[in-house]
Amino acid sequence: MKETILTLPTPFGEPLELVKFHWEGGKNGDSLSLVSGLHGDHLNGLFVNQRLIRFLDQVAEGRNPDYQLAGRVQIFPVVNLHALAAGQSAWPFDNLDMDLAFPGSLGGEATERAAGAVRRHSSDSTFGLLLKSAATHYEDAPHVQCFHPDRWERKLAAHLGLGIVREIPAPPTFRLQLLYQWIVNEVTGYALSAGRPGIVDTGMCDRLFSGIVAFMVKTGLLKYSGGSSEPKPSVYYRTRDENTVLSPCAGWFLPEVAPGACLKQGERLGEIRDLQSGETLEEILAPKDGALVTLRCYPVIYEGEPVATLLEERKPGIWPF
Amino acid sequence: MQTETIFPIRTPLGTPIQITRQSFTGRRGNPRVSFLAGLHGDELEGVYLCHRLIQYLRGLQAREPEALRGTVHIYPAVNPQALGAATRLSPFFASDMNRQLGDKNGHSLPAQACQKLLDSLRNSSDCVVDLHASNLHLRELAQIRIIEEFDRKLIPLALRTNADLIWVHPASGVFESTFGYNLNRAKIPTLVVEAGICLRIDDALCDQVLNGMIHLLHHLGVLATSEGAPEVKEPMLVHPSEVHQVQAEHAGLFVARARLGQMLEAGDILGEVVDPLRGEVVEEAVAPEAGLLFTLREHPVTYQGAALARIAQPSRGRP
Ligand SMILES: [Zn+2]
Repeated sequence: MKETILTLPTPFGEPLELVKFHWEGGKNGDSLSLVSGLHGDHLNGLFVNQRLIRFLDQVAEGRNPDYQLAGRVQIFPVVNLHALAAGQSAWPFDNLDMDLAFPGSLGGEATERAAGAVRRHSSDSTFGLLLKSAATHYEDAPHVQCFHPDRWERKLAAHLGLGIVREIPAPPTFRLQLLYQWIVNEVTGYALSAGRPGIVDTGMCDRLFSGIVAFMVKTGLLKYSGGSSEPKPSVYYRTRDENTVLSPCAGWFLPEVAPGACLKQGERLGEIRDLQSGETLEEILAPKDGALVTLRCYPVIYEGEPVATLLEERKPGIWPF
Repeated sequence: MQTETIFPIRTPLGTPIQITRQSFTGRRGNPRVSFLAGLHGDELEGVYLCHRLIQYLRGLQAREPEALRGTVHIYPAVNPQALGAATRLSPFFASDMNRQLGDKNGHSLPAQACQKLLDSLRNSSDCVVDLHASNLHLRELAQIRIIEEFDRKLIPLALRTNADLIWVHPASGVFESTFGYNLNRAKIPTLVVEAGICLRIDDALCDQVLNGMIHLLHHLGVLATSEGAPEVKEPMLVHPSEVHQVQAEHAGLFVARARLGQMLEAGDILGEVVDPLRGEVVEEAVAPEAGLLFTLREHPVTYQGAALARIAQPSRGRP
């Protein structure tokens, strides 16, 4: 069912409507909130949520007999309506990064209202999944991000089937983010990051879609009559496993690897060339063995900017404990 | 005057960007006061104020060199790329220079620059003044904003700044990553000045704040000029319950009818919100309480919930 949870009047035309889609199934008391579109150019999450909406409608209408809804699911496909309409990460009118607008305020300015509405509607969920893309100029291999997860939450994250579960360091602005708001409200929350802003990668979206369906089955929100299957193995990385590679000079960064690659120490990530003369200035090498979770995709780079993030696998083979 | 640069970074075009610091060192060298401006690239009042302060100190050094006792460091343009584009955020990195600091900082270039700037301020200051203008939407009287947990140290200093208002407010997540919060937590008293509106320079306002800064430097013992410290006004001191915010109930164009700095009576008209498509006045905004109009909306485009005005009215009996 589609429901308008907030109406944002505009000065020069019709109001914008913030909607959620929700399904009520069975007696399972658990619930899941899926949020995408905090940034207007994080399109993979929106694309996945749009597929999930069609899928859950089919299930609810009995048109997909392998699945049956057993819990409550709600999807907020676009939260930053103005930014999406502008085709930009943030709405140019306030330039506010919406993932720094939480907890939001129901009586505040437009962006804060939308943040406040989504927080209020999702903070009593059992589970929360925030779908996003990498930061501007970067591409992420699909992976799960979590903050101080306990053992059970780590295990559960593996059922999202993305292969990489990563504990993220809390940025200075963490308290202004939706994931933090979920955690303080005792929602088991994860962020799923995949791809880059402005692009829909259908292959990545397929993986996210399957992973989220498997997660709903694992958590009992969805019943599947096709038999159970274990998720493909994931590796759990702690914050100390992160290695950020900085560019030693400015120019072009020309990558030779792709996000998700497993690299050996000393392997080439790419090279930096002079922007105008094309002279090769530096080769960029992997400082350690590791999984390439984030890679720069915008080729023009300043001296000292991050090129890549590698996750170092310290104790292979211990997953899932 | 001694010029230094912090964190020079080479751009793809080869030219470096860097943070410039101008220093004036007196006989004693202490105390050391730093001024910082331009964290947000569209806030030009503080940048201009730094220019005025540098000009004043250069004149003083020529005219009365013994008047300078301590040290003044001035960082007039700490976000040069954003200032050059006149945008709040640096156009390439799109991150807020005043939201980067915490226990664990990121690896982005703005985060690295902020860390270097913070280190520089911490190592060379006994007191810091962080100069801001308002955003695109609101015009502000000269005010000092103080987070409650630092009020005992900061109010005595703020009283010396010639501000119209001192606003003591509770801490919240949004402040934790700022320079002001992190410097105060590091026990370096830091005053955050908010004055005017972005993308504009109000000369009279800069005169007012400049006099305040020169007075503060005398008060701290950095300056001892023969003419003495300029006189300053006594700011109004308010806490959250004494600040009344008026927000738009409708979207439209806001046209102010009141004047910033006016002493209002309850019920006085602040302005109106009009529906430009239908030729209707959809809302008349009025003062909910009497008091000093210290914030007034300047950007006409208004959405529901947008701040239109703030009024300060100290309650009687507060010390
Ligand atoms: Zn500012």
